Amino acid sequence: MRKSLAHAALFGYLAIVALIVILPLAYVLFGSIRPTPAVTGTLWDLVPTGFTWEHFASAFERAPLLRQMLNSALVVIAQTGLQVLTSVLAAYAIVFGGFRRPGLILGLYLVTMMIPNEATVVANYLTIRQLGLFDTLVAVFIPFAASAYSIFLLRQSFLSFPTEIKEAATVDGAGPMRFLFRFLLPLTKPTVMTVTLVSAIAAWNGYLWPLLVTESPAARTVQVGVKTLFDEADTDFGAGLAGLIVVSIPTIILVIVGQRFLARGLTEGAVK
Amino acid sequence: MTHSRRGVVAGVALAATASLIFAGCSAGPQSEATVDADGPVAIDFWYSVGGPAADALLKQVDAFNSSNDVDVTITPIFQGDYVETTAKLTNAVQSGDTPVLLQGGDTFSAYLHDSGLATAPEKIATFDGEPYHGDRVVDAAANYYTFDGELWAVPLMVSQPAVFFDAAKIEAAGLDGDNPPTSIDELFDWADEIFAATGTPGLVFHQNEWWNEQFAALDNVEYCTPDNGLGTEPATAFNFVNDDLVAVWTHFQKSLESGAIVNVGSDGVAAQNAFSVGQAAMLLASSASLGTTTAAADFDINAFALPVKTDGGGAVPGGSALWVLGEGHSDSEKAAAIEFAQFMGSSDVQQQIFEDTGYLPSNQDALDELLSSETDQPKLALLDQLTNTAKTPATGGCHSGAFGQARADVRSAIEAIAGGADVKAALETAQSKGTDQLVAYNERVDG
Repeated sequence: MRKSLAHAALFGYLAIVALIVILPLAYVLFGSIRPTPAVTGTLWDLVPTGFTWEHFASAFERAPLLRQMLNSALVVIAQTGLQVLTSVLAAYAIVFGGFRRPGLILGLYLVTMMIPNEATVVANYLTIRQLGLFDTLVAVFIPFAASAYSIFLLRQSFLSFPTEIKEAATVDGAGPMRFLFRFLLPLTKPTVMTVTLVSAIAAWNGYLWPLLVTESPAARTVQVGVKTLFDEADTDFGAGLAGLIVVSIPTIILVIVGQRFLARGLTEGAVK
Repeated sequence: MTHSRRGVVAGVALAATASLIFAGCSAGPQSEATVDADGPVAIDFWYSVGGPAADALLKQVDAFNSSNDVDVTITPIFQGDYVETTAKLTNAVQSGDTPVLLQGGDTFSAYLHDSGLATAPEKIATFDGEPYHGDRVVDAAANYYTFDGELWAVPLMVSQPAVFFDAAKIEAAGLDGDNPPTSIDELFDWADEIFAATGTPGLVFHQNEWWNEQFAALDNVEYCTPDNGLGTEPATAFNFVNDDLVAVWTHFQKSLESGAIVNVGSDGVAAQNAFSVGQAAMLLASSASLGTTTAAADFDINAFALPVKTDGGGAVPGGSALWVLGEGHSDSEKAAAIEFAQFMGSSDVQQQIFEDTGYLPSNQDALDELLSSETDQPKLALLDQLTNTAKTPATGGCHSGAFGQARADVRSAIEAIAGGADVKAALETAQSKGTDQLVAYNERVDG
């Protein structure tokens, strides 16, 4: 009896927390399919008053969202791929490279995190202009090809890599590349996946930089496209909310697919 | 996420204020001459509105591109909101890739003027030799963009605050919308009376520095001196704290506490929504919000002008204007920009923008025609208010490149007042901090 009461209490608590977490998303979803006016700013907005695809239609009409989603996808693939590759190589070199002062090298990387974006954005913009990359997709992702944060995360993970495995691999004649790709990465997969996910989500959500270095709608990413659906003086958010639903779908899929990696232990099962 | 993004944008904009001013060179006046229209001219137009406002704007851009007989093509490029557009402009200045045409938000006017990038429309040589004349721009709308007697930008989408109300609710309190209050203090009295008589709060508006500027202007007070920054000298100090304004905000504080004024914090959309769903009888808001507020409300919305207490005072018309950034551009590009500005400021286009969005017409002929043809009460009230707004320094609004930063201090003061802080002390602190910003800005500009 007591057990089932505790069970019910726990269930109730979790249900409330889940409701709170899902409320903003549900609000946006209902707002995007409600006939105009889409929202009134109260919880009554969650009560269905009808159904319409009109907001989605006007969202797609105002901005080439599908094309821009494709652009965003390309940016995510390129930016994440480059960032993970450079971070893995850098973290490997710091941990296993045999440097005399690896901490100093890491420190130099970390210093770049302490320079605010505002300070580097003009310089980056001018570099992109001079390279002739303005208004191209390459301009959107190239400044993020390396990330100190990802290097730091991977370095922490590599540090806790069991020395027994490293030694066993070396004894078996594995060179640095083989060790990296056949032993280290598979066994630190959860961290690598975390770095990949964090990088991918940041790439997908990028706004100010893509806005600065692109102009034509065809070269823009979807976050910039969604902004065109909103206006300061406008309180009818229908099209904007529809746009938000469209752009959040890939992020949600990414998290659902990737969450099992986020939950796993770092070197689970590596040592018997 | 939103906060950090805003932080970055605000930071970039802050950096923009300094670097744009240093980077810009002065745009010298040009002779009134003819520019040869020998071939197609394509120019960029940076705009900053989204949603339905962008639909209305782009419709006119398309109309211009397909109808002009001088082979000009305008390429509209969305650059984010006004703050983000300014940030982007800073970057563009560094690389020399500024657009010829820019839609500037009202509070960025002094900044764009001081940057030296802009050229006054009347000084630009045109294709047909007939220079642009701002004489058909509605006086009150031109006021905001007139520096030292010269019009620096063509008002594009004009808005002005007004009082929207639910007639049934104010009648229930024995009040009559045809005999509106004559001061903001009296408007707050109405809010108290409605609340006492009906139990419904009388008024709602968001806590924003904009209202402080409006309340001062209604009393014919120059918000910053000298001449609200519109004369030959730049603004050197804020000067809005006086007994009347302190009394107004004290009344606000009291009514907010009693519940006669709804507390929605600093969220303007929340204020409009509270009114639309019947949580308050009256709403203080921009004219631009009439369309969406009307769509959201299930009652008829009426409007009256913001009450002018002192002759020469009035609500400050704002919105956005079309700036020609002539610096670094050829004569034919500038002439093309003026063709477009003339088109956008024309009577037909301004009437169409009013119909499509509710933004008020900046063209006097459009205003006259709409006044005789419009039958909708709230729209007519808004058009009347614009017509009756005096062209004085007070209704021109404060102009300084440091205005954006100084406004944040006033917003904090208003929020503190809403929280129960001492009214006079809060306003005086904001005024003195703002003045420091103006002084620092002027020193940077003088270099």
